[in-house]
Amino acid sequence: MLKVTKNELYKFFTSKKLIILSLIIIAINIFAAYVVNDRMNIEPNPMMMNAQSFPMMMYIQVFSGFFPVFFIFLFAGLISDEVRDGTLKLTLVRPIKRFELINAKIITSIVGILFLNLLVMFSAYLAGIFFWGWGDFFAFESRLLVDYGPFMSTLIYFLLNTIGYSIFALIIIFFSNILRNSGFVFGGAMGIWVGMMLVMQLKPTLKEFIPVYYFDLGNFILQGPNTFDFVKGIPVLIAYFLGFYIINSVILQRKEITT
Amino acid sequence: MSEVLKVNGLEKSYGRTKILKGIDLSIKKGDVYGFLGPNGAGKTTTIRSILGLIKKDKGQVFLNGFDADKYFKKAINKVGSVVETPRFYEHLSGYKNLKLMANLYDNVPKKRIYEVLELTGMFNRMNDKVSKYSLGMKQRLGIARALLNNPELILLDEPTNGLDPSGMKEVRELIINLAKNENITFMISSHLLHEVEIMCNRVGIIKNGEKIVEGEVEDLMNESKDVVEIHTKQANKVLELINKHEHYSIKEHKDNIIILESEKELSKNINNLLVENNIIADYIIPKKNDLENIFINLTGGGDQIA
Repeated sequence: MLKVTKNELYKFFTSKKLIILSLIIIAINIFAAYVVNDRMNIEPNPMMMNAQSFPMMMYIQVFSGFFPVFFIFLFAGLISDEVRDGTLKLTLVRPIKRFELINAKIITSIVGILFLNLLVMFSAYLAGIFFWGWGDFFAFESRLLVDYGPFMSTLIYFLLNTIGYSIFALIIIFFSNILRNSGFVFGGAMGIWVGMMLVMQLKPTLKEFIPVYYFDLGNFILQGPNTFDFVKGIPVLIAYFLGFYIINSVILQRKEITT
Repeated sequence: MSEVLKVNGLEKSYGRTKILKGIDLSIKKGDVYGFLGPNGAGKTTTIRSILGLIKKDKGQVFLNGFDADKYFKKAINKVGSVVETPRFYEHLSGYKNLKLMANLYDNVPKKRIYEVLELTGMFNRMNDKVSKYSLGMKQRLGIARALLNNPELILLDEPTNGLDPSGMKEVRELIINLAKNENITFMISSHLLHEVEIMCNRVGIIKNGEKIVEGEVEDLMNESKDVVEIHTKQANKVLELINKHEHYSIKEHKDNIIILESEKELSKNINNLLVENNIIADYIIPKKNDLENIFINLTGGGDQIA
């Protein structure tokens, strides 16, 4: 499985989509740092900002809204584009089992989510250091559940956020597995995302059963155990993961490659 | 000789339409096997079923002696393939494309990638992006990719599709060269019967999802009837005469030209027969019995060849 995973990761990290998104993320961080820097001089309420606080601020204020769209954009073609382009069969006519391929695709998507989270974090740090230096305060310190220091707390925050998005990636892969056109996959996944948010608004009692609720799992370290009911949350996350993993494996196993 | 590919009773349906109705195939080591059939006969479906790209309803596929259902990895390990137009990751170079596929095997060293690039004449262009390649170069790179794992068997589905005549010749020569020098067994589906005749020693012909003939090209040609074209101003007399003889039959007749079939070796008597009956023939032209004639006779039409 390692061989096919290596290949999938190589294809992912050399894709134009990822390069474009990475540049967009870096540009947003630089632009935001520039704007914030401008506001720091406006009286009577100048903004307080430094490098150690900037990544978390950027995630909460900006990227939490963009990330689902970014991930749909990135993963929509993971299977559907390969079927359309006739490149999926290249792997399938080699000594590789289909379940190894779906595992590789899932691992790639999780690594991709991790990569973008870390890219946001580190490019925000760099932009912050450029404009303000590391600084002598951590803006979120008073809200931290456990204080591991500014860097580790920020890292844990970003890592926790990847969990919810990983479930979402499995849902995107599901659409990519059943639809041939990545445009339709994009539409389907966007629809599910918006639908889940609507359900959360309309029926707050169901929120713990909806993957979108776990997109900001990092808030746990900011707002404490009351933020998430982990007794309910962990089984829900595991159920979603296993459910979509099995569905995706079965669909790919039965898929007829005719292009 | 051992069989590198054996297909038993391959069946496949889409809805109520039965595409393959129990195909049996046998390809022995060293064969260059032409797989022929009219449009929609089920050639590509057969090749995709052999490679496991589509699920068969019934039947067994043995590749290099391994049951492909039970031991897929072992069965496919020494098989190369180019299914229809070869596809690539267009944003990567030719070399990178091969490297990605080489990664999926246990023992394909870097050296082998250079070897196959050299063999297919793609060495000098290996660092260019595939999107810059011509179709002929892509076909050659596709064959290079199929060679990576030192295969015993290569399946090629329409390998000269879309190529210009010089590209076709290049690919044809490459296949002949690989079969001879690298001792690789080929299964080639092609609509170009003349090419198959040049390249292949054995053929299988399918029609409507059923195999109608399989055998050595030479045997098929020897088994078939002689064909003779007669140009004469006394066409009616010839028709009358031929109709009386059970060993001859009229294949085509247009104005002063008659094409007749005779049982093997009897065509040489035509001249005497005409002379004995005072019929003057302007020309008597023995027609070469080629694969195209055999194919048309067996499948009932050349306009459907694909």
